[in-house]
Amino acid sequence: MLQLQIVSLLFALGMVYWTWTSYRRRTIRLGELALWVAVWSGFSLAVLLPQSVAVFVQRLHVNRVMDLFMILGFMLVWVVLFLNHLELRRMQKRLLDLVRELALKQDDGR
Amino acid sequence: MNDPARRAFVVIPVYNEGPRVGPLLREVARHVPLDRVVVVDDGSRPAVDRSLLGGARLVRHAINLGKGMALRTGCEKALALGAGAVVLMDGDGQHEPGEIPRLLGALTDVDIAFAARDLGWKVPWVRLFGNRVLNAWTNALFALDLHDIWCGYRAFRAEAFPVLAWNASDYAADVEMAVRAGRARLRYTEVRIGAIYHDAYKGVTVLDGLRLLVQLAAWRLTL
Repeated sequence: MLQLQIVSLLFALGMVYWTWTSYRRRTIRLGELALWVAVWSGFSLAVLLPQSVAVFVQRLHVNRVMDLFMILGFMLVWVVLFLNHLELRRMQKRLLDLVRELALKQDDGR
Repeated sequence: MNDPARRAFVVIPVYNEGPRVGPLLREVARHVPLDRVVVVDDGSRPAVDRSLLGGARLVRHAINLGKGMALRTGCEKALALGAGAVVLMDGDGQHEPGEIPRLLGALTDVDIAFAARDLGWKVPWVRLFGNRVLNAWTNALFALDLHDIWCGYRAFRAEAFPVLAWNASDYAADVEMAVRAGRARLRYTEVRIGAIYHDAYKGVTVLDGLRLLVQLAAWRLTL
């Protein structure tokens, strides 16, 4: 087994463990746990058996499995970035509304 | 035409202004009774000392939300108390309270009156240049004819608030208000005032100015 494969597998195992502890602490829901475990399992499978994704490599006219990984990785990063942005905006709006609502409910000193 | 000045409120957002608030309120009290003055403490540390208020109303944000949101909270408070018109002024003593009657007087014929400072060469040239570019860009995009859009000293009739209600939480609120007034074709006028210059653009950077130019283009498409 290549050293890169070992490092990648350890990385995937670490991410699965982190996802699981996040679920145990109720930071993420069951659906999110399933999604991320599926992502890291797929990643591990492709690392262990690169030929299993060869069909996608051919279909998508990508030169190597590594290139496919890079492309999918970038796509995933952009999706997560966008989701983070949306969530941040939602949180910001909720915080603004809450602080303003509390301020208006206070005794104004008269 | 009814006289909006008869039940005018003054909204003053303050953030870490410390003891400057007291003298400012004493000046404001010469023109508007203090029970019609809403001071919005936008999360100052330490908080605004109530003893400095001399009877003005205090609304406090638990955390700093920015000038735009402080103004909006203050306006909502004033309108809930039955304001017929609202004067907005900065809490750092930069706006001369003596101009309040002129701003309110101008409301007899219009929905919103903007103060325009005679900045001359009192401000650094970069600021002056930025102000001119911003004015020109805003006027061109929204068919306005204003000379100091960045100046937050202004007065509007209570009926105008629903169309003016801004979403910007920072200094861009002053500009968004003018933009919304233009889009809604509110009747407006300008009142020329003198400028007391501490730092007319406290907290505003060149990057903020550039961001606002882009934001203005977005408002042109979305508002």
